[in-house]
Amino acid sequence: MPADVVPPWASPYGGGSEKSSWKWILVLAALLLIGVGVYYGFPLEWIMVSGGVLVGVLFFVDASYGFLAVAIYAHTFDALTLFDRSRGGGTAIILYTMVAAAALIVYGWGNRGRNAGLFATLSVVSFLLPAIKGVLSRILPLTLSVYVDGVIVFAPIWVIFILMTDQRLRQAASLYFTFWLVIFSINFTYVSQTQGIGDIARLGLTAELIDVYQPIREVYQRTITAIKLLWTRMMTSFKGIEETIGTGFETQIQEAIHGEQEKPKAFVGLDIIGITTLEGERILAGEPLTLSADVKAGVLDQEIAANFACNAKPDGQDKTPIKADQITPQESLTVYSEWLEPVDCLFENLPAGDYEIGLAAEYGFTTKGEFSSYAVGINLWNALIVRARKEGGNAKDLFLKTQGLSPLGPSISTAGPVLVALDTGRDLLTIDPNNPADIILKVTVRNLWAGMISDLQFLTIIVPKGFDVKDVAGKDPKEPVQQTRCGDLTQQRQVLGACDDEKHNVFIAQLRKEAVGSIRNVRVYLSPTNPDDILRAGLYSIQTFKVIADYTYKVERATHVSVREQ
Amino acid sequence: MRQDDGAYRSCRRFVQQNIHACVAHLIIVTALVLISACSGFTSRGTPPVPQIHVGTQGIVANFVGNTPPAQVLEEGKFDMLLELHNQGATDVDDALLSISTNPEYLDISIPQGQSQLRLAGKSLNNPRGDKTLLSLKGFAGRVSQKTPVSVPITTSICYPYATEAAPVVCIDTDPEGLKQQRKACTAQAVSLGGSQGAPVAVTRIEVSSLPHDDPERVIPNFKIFIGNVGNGEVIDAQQVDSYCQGRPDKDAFNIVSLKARLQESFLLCDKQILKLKSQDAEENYVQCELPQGIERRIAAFSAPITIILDYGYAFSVTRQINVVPRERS
Amino acid sequence: MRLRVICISLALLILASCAGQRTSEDRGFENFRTGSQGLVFQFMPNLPPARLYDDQDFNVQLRVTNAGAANAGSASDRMYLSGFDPSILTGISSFGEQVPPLEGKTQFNIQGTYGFVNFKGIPRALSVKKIDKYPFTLVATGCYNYQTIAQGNVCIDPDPFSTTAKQKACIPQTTSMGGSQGGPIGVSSVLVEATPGRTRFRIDVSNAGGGIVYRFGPEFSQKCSPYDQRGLQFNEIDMVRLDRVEVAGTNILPSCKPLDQGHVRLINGRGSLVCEYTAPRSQAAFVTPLLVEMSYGYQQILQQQVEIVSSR
Repeated sequence: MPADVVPPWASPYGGGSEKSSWKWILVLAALLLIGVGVYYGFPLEWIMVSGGVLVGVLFFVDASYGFLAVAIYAHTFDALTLFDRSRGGGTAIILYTMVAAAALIVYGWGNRGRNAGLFATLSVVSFLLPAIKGVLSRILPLTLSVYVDGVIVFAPIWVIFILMTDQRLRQAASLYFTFWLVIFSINFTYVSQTQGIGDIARLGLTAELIDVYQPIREVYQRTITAIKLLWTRMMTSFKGIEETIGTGFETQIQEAIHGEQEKPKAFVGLDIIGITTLEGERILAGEPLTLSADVKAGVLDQEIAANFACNAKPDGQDKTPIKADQITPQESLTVYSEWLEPVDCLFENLPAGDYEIGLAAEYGFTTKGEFSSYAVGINLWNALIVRARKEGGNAKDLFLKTQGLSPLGPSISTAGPVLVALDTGRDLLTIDPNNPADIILKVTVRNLWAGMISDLQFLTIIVPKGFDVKDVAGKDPKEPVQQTRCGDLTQQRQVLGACDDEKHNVFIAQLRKEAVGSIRNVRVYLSPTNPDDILRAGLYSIQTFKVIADYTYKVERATHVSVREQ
Repeated sequence: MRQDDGAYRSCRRFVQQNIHACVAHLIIVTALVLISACSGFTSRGTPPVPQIHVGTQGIVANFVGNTPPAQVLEEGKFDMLLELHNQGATDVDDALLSISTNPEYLDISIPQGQSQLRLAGKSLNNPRGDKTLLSLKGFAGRVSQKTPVSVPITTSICYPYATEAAPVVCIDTDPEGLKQQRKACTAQAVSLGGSQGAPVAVTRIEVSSLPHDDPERVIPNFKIFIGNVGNGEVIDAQQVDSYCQGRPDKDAFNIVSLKARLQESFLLCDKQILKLKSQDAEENYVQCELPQGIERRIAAFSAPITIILDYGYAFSVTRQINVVPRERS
Repeated sequence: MRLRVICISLALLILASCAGQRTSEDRGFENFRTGSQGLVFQFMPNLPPARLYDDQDFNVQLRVTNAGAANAGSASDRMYLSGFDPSILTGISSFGEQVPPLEGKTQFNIQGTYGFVNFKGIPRALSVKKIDKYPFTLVATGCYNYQTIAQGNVCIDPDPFSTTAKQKACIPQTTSMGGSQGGPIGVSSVLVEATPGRTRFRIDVSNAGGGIVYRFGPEFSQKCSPYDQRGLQFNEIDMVRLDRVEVAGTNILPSCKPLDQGHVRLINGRGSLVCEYTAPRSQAAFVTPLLVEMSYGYQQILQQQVEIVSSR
């Protein structure tokens, strides 16, 4: 044996084996007690307690010997009782705990006390490990229980090896490890043949420990459920991130291959830029005046027929504007997407005075607004309200949560100088099949640009089958709302509205002629004429409403000029 | 060992230095093997029992694989494979399947005969419960926007279900401790862990013994706590169909009917129909007792109390699908 | 040295584990009144099994060994099974089964005798009650009447403080009476207090059997049953009847106190009584046998976890 290795029987106080042999005698005496007691039929608990007292004494003298003796006596007990820890298990736990506490009191939190307390405390834990292992082995597949055993059952040993500070203690612990290995093997072989791995837990339980076991099991199961829920939510979030990253990454790849995609223009429709008078801001009466500007078109889905008008408005409100004598290239033009064209206006003979001289472009345009809303039956909604009242929260959130849905966004509008926004003013549509109530669809037409809506002509209202448009507040009183078919709409509107006669009812409402400042509100009264078509056969449906606004938009830019008498 | 040694080198050095101790260990191992031979083990050969009344789910619906696809082209077709698995212990004869979506963009139909389903639960002959795979076809509509439209597809499965719990409780016929006798068990609360092969479970039972008018008898009394431990909604068993079609009554949610039995007799409970108040099982309980009582003459014993809960359940699963517009010239 | 130590350890381990499988040997005349057990009950292996199906019979067999020195197995000595729901496990009588007559240890039979008690139950189908499995703790309760006869030699010194130079035959001192006397109740020690003309014996009685001791008599054995209406009451347990206390051929039981209707009460398993013997002062110190005879009822409980599993 190498010189620096201290054999387990060597005394910590120095000297040879003679001085430490009495400790071994104590260990053997404990074993003898076990043998004699069993032979003569003493109650097993008595044997173990008295043997335990002996080894407890030894524990205080030398923790490594004590620990070894404790291990031997405890596991012989296990072998004798086939791990029936209901017999004396409680006693053993109490004994270990007392030894641990006493060691700490006697030795203090120094090395010896620490080691002694550590061993005894871990031994207490060891008694509960079969129960924990039994719980785990019910959950894990059978093959994994072997590995669980290796980790869990030997956990005290791993802790000991990590924390030990004394070589002899390590040797004692390695012997303890060996005992555990054999006892475990016996246990595994025997019990797995007779009662199944999952029943090993029963061997570790006493009536008292069941009180501990049940809450542990309950906490364990709740923890597993919580972990599963957390994992699902993490994965859902992760998938969302994955999609976002994936999509962005894909876009970058595409751009690298095909070159950066041209981004859409910031505006749609027409604008007049660079308006100026070629002769300057002051001219003499009788001299010609040319107003020059560029007409710029944004990204357009279709061509626009634009009408141009040039007027010189004398200062003072009640003066009649003077029309230009000539517009070049012409008064009406077809404008194409991203088109830039110079337009000039000639005034041949302006009387003296100060004028605001401007170029106006007027064109017809269509903008579509689309809005989707969840629709549920009134009974389901009322049931959700009742439940939300009891559980707290609101019915809409409860509905979304129970169906795994997200809120639908606000309405969307196609690009244009005008925004068409739709809203029903409700969290979701509730339909009473027996007494369907009207729904108001609020249509807001908002001017986004510097120009103006010179004429909001009509609305094409595309609603799902099951709805009819009863009336439109803001329509031309002389013109009733007319129902039409998708096929009768212009091609452009069919595409814009994605209209299908099997899915939609289409109505056209001519609007009252009035100037639209920045905003105009129209109310469309919808009647759920066929609730079954709306609700369908599911728990909910989504209803999508589309409104296409046809209007004339006017852009005007002006500048000042002063005409002086000659 | 020096503390700054690596763990592997330390272990190796330890073994090398203590080879004799290792030999000693080997001898002891052999001895213990002999011990085990001496002790005369007998093999009983009992196989493990399949766990039937375990789990917190009833019928679970899942989209299989990459169906429906995350993206579908407008006016295109797509498939949906829906797996329905009865993970609980109760047979279902008439589960109803419904699909909710935005008909503007998606059209999904349930094939004939597949909207009403039959799925057997777990049993000794069928330890995993029935599974079925439904193949559904979908069509995407036209998209007028230039950007993809995200549309949800929600599949709901609604079914009547039952929970059968039979926890073992201790009936203490001598709660006052007058008899000087060690009892076979202690009457105390039993935590069931909420896993009985169904989404509504008995979570806990508090047991006590009350005096009977006849001094020779005691009345076992039970406070039974119930909770929704699954991922869906508890509904009235009578309204399963109407709920799935979106037309339930106002009080459709959280209705559970309860029956309990001890030995051969039904227990008398303070309510037959329980309205679950919240997700917290602590608020949902029923008090039951055996009115005829049990003779005090019988020593404390363990007995199973059979609790049957009847209710409807609805489980929904939602997937978002992007309908992508085609490029238009 | 090392190897020797290891081999000794191994030998003792093997000895300890294989204990109980030795055959008994004839050791010649021995004091058979030893040991702190009366009847020892054991479930026979697999009877009952830890788990059985509800279509199998529930067979229980207990081996009853009379490891004490008194005879047992009278009509009132019975074993009972309890702890289960009788509506699930039927066929087990609440009247129990009689313990077979078992002779105690004698000088010719140092091992004692043993017999078997059998129960047969029939589980009901669990599937009808919607039960998958029914775990319970099977409790076997043994109730029997027993006797302990404790014999030992004591020293009587009628004149303990005499000033004569005569050497005395003995000196009064505490005697252990052997520690146990072939029964769960035994005399743990006798303290002899010699005073002039009178010798007091403080007899310590202890319950070393691990069970519950109760008043002797068939009516109390009936109450010991887990199915008895009232069961043993607090004033019926921990009571040992003194039948005889004799020293030097004289019955000194009437002098013993405190006795409760002839019974000594045990507290935490221990009790004591003081008896007196009067000897003439002129008599020299002498050794004489002390005999204590006790009768009592004893209850021993055995538990085993059993699980009945539904077969459908």
